[in-house]
Amino acid sequence: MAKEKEQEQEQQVATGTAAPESPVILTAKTREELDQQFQELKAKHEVHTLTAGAVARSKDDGTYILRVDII
Amino acid sequence: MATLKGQNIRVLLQDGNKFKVVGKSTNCTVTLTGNTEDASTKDDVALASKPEITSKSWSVQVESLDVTDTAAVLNAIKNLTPFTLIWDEVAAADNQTAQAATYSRKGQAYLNDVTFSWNDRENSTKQLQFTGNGALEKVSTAPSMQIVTVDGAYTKGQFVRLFVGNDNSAAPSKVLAACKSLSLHVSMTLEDATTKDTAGDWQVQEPTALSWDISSNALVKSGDVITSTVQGQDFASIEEVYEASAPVKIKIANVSGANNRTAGATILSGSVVVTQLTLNAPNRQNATFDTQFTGYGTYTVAA
Repeated sequence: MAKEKEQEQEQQVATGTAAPESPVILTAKTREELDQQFQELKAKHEVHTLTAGAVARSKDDGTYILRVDII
Repeated sequence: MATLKGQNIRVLLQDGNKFKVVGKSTNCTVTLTGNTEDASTKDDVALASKPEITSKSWSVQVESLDVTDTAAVLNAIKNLTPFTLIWDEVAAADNQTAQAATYSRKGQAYLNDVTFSWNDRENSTKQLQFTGNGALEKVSTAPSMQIVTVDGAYTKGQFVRLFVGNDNSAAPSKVLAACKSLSLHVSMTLEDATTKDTAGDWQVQEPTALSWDISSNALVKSGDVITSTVQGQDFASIEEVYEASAPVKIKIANVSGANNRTAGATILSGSVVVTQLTLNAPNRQNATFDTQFTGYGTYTVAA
């Protein structure tokens, strides 16, 4: 069973479908830019499920922050 | 000696081989319960009861202004992710370095109740409740900590909105218009699963049922105004959903743009039924309506 799992993971790596390091923190100066980054990430990881938290905005420099988990 | 302040007692969650504080926490409560049975008998001449502690249980509540991890929390409660947590005193220098105080304890727990609130022009909040599963142990050495970055970023409630569909087939595209407050509550029912096989007094728990609901409050506005400016759902259309007695699709999403109605990344989606609709019409005040949407089936956490 463990061997099957290992083979599956190796196969995922070989085909580029393995989930990358998660979570990914997107940051941008504008909401449009943040949404654009999110769409690009989504397109890049079509085979994965992406989950998103609520967008936060820094009170210091106004940066928008979005946490995305790639599963 | 000065009284210890609340900011110096924090809940720490295990992440890998380190512990992290719950970031942007505003309050935490630890409740230790002795479950009792009255052991008074006819042999006792007096009228007083004699509570005997038959089992012990514990729970921890944490409130925080960090809602960037909403999706992760919603998955954790749904997937019955077990947590190892500690409550401990932290150093005043950074409020993050654990001290292994004499009253610090460590245990396994289920995250069994979460509430997110996204209220207009307020910082969004989350409330987490963990219920202990088994014994607590003393923390004799300070746990290794992963320091959480203090980023000063907050989510204003108007940038997260509820979208409600007209039926259970099409994707929901209309916001709940003129919404003032929105909250999402998810609860995992736990049942006491302690048996004669269980050593010690501590209760063990078994998750048995997941339920979720959404509560909102919105102004009652003319349907024409809603249609022409927001393209949203109003009291009249929500009442139609209620009268249809059938599930409709919803989603909670990040929003931006004009009227804060352009959907960005989805936080949660699913189907709901309207289980309560309350019209409030106080004299010389804005008329509002409260809606309770109860989850129908499970929810999906996918952006």
